[in-house]
Amino acid sequence: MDGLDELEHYLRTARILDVGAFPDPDIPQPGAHPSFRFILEGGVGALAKPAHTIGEGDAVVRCEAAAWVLARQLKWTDLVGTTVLRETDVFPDVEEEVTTSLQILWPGFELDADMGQFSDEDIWRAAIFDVLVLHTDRTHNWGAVPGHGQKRLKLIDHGYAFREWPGREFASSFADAKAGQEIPDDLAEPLDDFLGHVETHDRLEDLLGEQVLEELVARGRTLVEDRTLNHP
Amino acid sequence: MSVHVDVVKNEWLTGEQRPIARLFVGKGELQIDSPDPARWGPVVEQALDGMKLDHPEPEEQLGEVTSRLRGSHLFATVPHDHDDCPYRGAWEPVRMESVSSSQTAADPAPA
Repeated sequence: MDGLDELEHYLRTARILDVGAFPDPDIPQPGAHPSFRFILEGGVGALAKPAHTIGEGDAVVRCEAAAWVLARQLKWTDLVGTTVLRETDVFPDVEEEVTTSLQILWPGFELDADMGQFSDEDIWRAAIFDVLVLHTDRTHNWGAVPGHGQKRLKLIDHGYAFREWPGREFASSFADAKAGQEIPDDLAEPLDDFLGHVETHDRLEDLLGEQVLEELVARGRTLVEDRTLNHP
Repeated sequence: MSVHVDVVKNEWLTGEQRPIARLFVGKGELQIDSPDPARWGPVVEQALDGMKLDHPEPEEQLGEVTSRLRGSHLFATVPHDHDDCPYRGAWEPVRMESVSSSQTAADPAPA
């Protein structure tokens, strides 16, 4: 038992002590997903992205949760914050329950830290992860958190991933950094393991649908067979 | 600087929203103003990398910034005039506001 099942259960069920938002500006902010901060009982801060505040919100929040599920299946749970879907009615101006992605916030998060501060292993894992999830916005959307002697990479914002989104294309600074290079054996192993355990893909299929999951698995197979990091 | 775009950082745990750069057209090209250009200049430039190829005119680039920076922790506003600026052209942080509280979840979501 690694406690992650319990952590996900806590996120889905813990009492919400406070819902915070930044003041609504008088000018429009298209693109960014209007979000909230939850403070949960026991003192955990989490980023809440409700489906109702952005177009195609239901698909967006499912992608957010799917990124965590994939990170967990790859055993890269240090790379992505624990994320779940939660039905909640705490948002202003909405009476019914809204499906919301809820992700634990990293303490000491240093936004868009220089890539040169990260280990080669972290950069490789991010490059592989971004190809798998087909990330469209990873020219930023990462951070550094203090580690033992070296800052560790944390990936955020996976709402526009996994499938094609209008007006967006694959974009990853990490994949750019590793493009055309041979994938190290120790990082191909988690991929092999993920692809070899199809029975564990149920949660991803629930979140993404059968076709998007098949495309994700196909990208994983290509990485394993090529042993080279190529853009999808 | 009149019409500009604010690049804004959301610090969710501390509850502060902070403008970290402003982009505007000056001397015929896109200019970046920041209280910490060494820290934020490369971040903004990386996010905008390649934009000049598709949008050669600086006014076009300014309008494109919003679609290049749209994350939960870092985003860009649409171009707006100084008089309409939600940050009043300053670098002061905006505090998060509490909008509701206290819900006990009864039925967990399925995934």
